Amino acid sequence: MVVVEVVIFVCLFHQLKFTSPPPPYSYHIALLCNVASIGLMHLWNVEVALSHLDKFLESTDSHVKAGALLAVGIVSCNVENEAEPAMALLSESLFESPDNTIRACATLGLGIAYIGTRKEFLLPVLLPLLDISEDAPPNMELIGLASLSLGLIFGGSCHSEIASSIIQTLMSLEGRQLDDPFAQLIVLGLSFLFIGRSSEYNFDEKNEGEDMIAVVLESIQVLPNLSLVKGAESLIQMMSYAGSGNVLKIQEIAAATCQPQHTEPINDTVATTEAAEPTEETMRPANSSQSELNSSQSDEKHHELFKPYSVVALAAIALGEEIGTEMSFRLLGHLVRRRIF
Amino acid sequence: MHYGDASIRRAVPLAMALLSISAPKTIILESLSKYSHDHDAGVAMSAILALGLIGAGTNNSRLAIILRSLASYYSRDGQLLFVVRFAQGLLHAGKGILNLSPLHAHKSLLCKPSLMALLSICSIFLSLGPELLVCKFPYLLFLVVPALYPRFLMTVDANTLEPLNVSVRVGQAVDVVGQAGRPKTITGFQTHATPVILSYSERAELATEAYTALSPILEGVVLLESVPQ
Repeated sequence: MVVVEVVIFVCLFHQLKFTSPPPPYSYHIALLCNVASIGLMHLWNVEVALSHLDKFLESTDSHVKAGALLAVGIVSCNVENEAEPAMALLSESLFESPDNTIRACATLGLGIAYIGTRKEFLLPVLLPLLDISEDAPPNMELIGLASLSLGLIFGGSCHSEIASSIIQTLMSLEGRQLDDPFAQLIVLGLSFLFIGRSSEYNFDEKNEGEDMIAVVLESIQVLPNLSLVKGAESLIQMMSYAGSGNVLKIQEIAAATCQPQHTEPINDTVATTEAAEPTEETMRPANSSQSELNSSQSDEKHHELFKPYSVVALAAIALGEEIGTEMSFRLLGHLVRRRIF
Repeated sequence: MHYGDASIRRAVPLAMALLSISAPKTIILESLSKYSHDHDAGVAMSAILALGLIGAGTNNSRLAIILRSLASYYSRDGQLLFVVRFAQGLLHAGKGILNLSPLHAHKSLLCKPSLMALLSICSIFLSLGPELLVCKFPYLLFLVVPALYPRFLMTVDANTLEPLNVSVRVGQAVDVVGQAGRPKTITGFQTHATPVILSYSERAELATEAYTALSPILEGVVLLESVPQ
């Protein structure tokens, strides 16, 4: 308890002394981040870190406990330990705690701790978080983080069970929930499953990655939120070609980025009229006069996410190759200066 | 920086940073420090985060000066100041022995988990927006952790796995692909005893005849075998 008080004191001191403007985040978030930083201080030193974190894991304050769980995930990152302490601690609180902050941090902690390991025992822990119950409104933050963690852990595996669960979750969400920023995280997790799985990388003849990407892209087309679909297409394209240095793909994406906007702002009409039926959404691109009116507002609200994703995709594909890097750097400079109507 | 779609302008600094993670090249540094004073706070924040990413773990003094002046320039804005402090933390990560680069083995291989971590930071910044990320979910920035990796060369004995102190030459890497004979792979080298830190664009070679390395690439942990006299 003494240490908790010290941390609280440090937080307060931090607020008073070092940052003259008030910190942008709340006191509880500061507490969470400070405790999580203990994990960073003892990075890769699991035994020592766990002895420090013991008292925080017992804490009754949900934010302190959430921070400690995140810290457990952080220290275990890239470390092999046969006892799997991160799995034991994080899954236990994920099952037992009703608190959303604790559950969110435990999910993120699992994602960080087991990134790229593709360990199957994590599936029964994380997959149930994607299920949406009928009676309670879905917690978008938790679903987004669970999908992100699954993507990080099973990155590049083309795991069909995870992919179908994530798509199932996206299908069962309603229009307004798909506008939530965390819906983008669900899609991000989905796209991580295909990192480096374009035909560029695959030397075998079967080329399962490419086929599965096509199936996934096909199945997300039915989602009512057009900007989410476009964003997902862009993300999956970015991930599958990441680091390949494929010049043709870079040119294709650059051309798409410079295209004038065809798509509609989705949220404006949804906010005013309650009805968000899929049929109405898909018909909307024909309604061009409204599109021009609303296009400036959509920039403000950043619903048109596929373009920024495409810009990042340019860099992600070119990265690692000298000449491609230089060319993309110049291309990015042009994108900034170009006015797009 | 006067034209261009607002959402694209926010993404450009992050994309530039991805092109040279942990490698503060002057040309990228110049453009990013220009964008960090943009009138759109979102562009400024992404430029400052990008500055942190390109300088991560390098202790680059020029970048440190830029970030210090940004800290005083934005001393009244909590959100921007938070991003500046985050970038400063990245710059001095592990007091300069860590880096974030997903490329290893003479930049010929790509570490996918590390790339996923970096791409998730960029995508989350763009999808949640800087305000929401900084005010409500700053702990998502811990996603940068899986990309952290020490940029050292450590030598251990192949039989006993005990650390060995041998002298190595560390210098700027030279591209010798396709050249005839055995051209020198490094230039302007200094001799150090292992363990040593290799900065961006530096390469090491053994300076002693007593050992041979079991790996052709001297990076990270390398096994050495003693040569019988």
